[in-house]
Amino acid sequence: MEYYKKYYINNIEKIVGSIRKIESREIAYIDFDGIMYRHIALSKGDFGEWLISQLPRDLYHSSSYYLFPDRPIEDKVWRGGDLIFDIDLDHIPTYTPNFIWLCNKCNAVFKKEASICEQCNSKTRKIHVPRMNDLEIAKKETFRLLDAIYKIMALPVDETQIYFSGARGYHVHIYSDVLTTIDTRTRIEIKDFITLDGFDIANMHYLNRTYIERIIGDIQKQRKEIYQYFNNSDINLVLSLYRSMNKIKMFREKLQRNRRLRNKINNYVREIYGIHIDGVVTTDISRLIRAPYSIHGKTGLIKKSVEYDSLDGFMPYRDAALYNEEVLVKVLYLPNIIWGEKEYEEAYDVEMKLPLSLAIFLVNRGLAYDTRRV
Amino acid sequence: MTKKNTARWTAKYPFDPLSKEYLKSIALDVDEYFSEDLIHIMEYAYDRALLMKTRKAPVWKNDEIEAISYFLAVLIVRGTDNRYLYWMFADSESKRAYKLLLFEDNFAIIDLVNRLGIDIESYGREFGIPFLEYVKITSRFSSPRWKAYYYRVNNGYVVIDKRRLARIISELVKDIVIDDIERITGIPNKIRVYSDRLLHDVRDILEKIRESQEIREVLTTKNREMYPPCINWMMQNIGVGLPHAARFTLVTFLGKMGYNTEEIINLFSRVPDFNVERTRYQVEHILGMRGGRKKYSVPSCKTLRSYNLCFPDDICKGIKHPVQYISRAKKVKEYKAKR
Repeated sequence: MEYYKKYYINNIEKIVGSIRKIESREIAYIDFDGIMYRHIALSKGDFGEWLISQLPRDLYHSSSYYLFPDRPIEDKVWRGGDLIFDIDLDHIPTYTPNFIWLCNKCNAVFKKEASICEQCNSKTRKIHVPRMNDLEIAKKETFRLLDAIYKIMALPVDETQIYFSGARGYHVHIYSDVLTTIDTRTRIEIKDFITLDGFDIANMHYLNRTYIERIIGDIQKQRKEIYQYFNNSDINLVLSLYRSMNKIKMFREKLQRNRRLRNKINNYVREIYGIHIDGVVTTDISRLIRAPYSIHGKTGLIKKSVEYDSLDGFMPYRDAALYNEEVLVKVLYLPNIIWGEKEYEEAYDVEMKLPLSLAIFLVNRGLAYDTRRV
Repeated sequence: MTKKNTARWTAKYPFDPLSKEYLKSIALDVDEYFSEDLIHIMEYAYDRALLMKTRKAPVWKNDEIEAISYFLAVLIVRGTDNRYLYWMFADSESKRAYKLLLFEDNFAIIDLVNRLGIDIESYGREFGIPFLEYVKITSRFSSPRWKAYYYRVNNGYVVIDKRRLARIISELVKDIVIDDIERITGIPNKIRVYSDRLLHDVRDILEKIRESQEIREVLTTKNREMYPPCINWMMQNIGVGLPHAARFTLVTFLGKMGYNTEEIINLFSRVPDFNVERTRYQVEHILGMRGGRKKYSVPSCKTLRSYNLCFPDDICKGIKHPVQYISRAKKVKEYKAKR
């Protein structure tokens, strides 16, 4: 709690400054008992004092602006909303989460599924543990997204803000007036364009050869995913279909008759060329989003803004972590991780000094506890 | 443009801001169109309003009369005070514009679209329309073929051919025509006579619409054979776990079919992470019994496609909403039974 208070007192300006049209937003938070409070309206002037007195564990604001942000959702009167994209590891199919099983009694750690401790026969609990490069996967996806936003759709670059989400991904907020009033239907079209949801190769327009040529290119390059989706006879069929006809129209028509191959191609296009975002965040205009520069309650990390040019070098465990004073904690399991500037080796069941932010990160996950409290 | 060209252009596209200036310059007082000499123009305008029913192709002899007939037809339609007719008139005007646009040269089309406030580019024989404008307009179309990913998109422009651009312009025309109608206040009584005549002449259409709305209300069934494949897929997969959007769709659909809360909760008891209280809360919320008391409607086919939850069969062709499937399925069944 002290950690939160100190941080918020020092950073009120930054938070208020990052929430555009703050007085038109619904503010919401979760307190330290895990209870959520919604439909709060605050002016720019009152926000700071409110924040320090409530001290939320997690702080949110609506992506939309309302005439009456404090009324129930049907009576708020919608006035527009940011267009937000959410990249989260959980929505990226190539990412597989890493778990350990920790014994409730003897603190033994198992890296393979073990519901009962092999040493003392007590129950274990399953805990998600980050790998060193997990967040690089999310970053790569974020670059793909930004490419689509800037180069393909050409949405306004100078009115876009990229944030590290505070946990397992990135948020991209576009707040330009040219698109804040677009309705949900239009947001769905934008989302579908990015994710390729609903894509069917048989509907391609004859002027657009993009996806077909990309598949042919992937086959020629022998991209490894090709072999996960197609067998050899599929590949030969696609190639001969493409070679034997220079008209994309005929290619499409042939596929209309071969449903099996068409489905395989559609799945390949959606999963390999689609960008994996959490679509609801983009399309739902009554959604809440974590407030910029607030602390993520589960990780202790900050939702921090990142400039496009520094995104490549951005390291969340260094750049979004707080105070680096060291504290003594009892560590049950510490994965191999780079935190701040330092690399930590894997460690089991040991008391050690760690930077406060890393200690909080582990404690919130159940991988460590504060020795003073026990 | 020469005066003659302007008259021709206005006759074709009276909704163009450029045409409106010309229209103002030639329009007489409404009263004057009721004089013996000019009443034929009034009749001509009436026929134009009636295009919503007759659907005849636009052919005309006199550009000025054609142009002015738009203005008078708008008055007649406004006089009906029937929003459905506003929409039907806008639709017929939009189709009329579409047919004419196909014969325009590219430069004329580009100028027109620019005047409508959209910055469009020429891409050889094709056109580039700004991505955001493209998705704003096409989000209203139910055909999946308009999805932006089926087209080439470069530097913020979606590349489309003339036919598609004409369709997009015609969609904009609808908005302009409705706006033209609604902006008018105060209809002369003489015009209202024509408005009443119009209401009388299209009464069969209005009646049909009322009927089809009633049918849509009545057709509910608990016979799963009549349900669309998406819903059946969801029913079959309840036990393995469904994505959020699928659960939501299923609850709204079953609610519409007359299932009560308990019946729906029972169905969901096969869900792997089943929790009675939480399920009840969510079901009641979706059915509008709780919280905002907003009753959520069943998502359209388009929305379901967007969630990758659409697995169409033959009956699905041409339907836009899962609920529509039932009346189709019923007809197919009856037809098969007869044979």
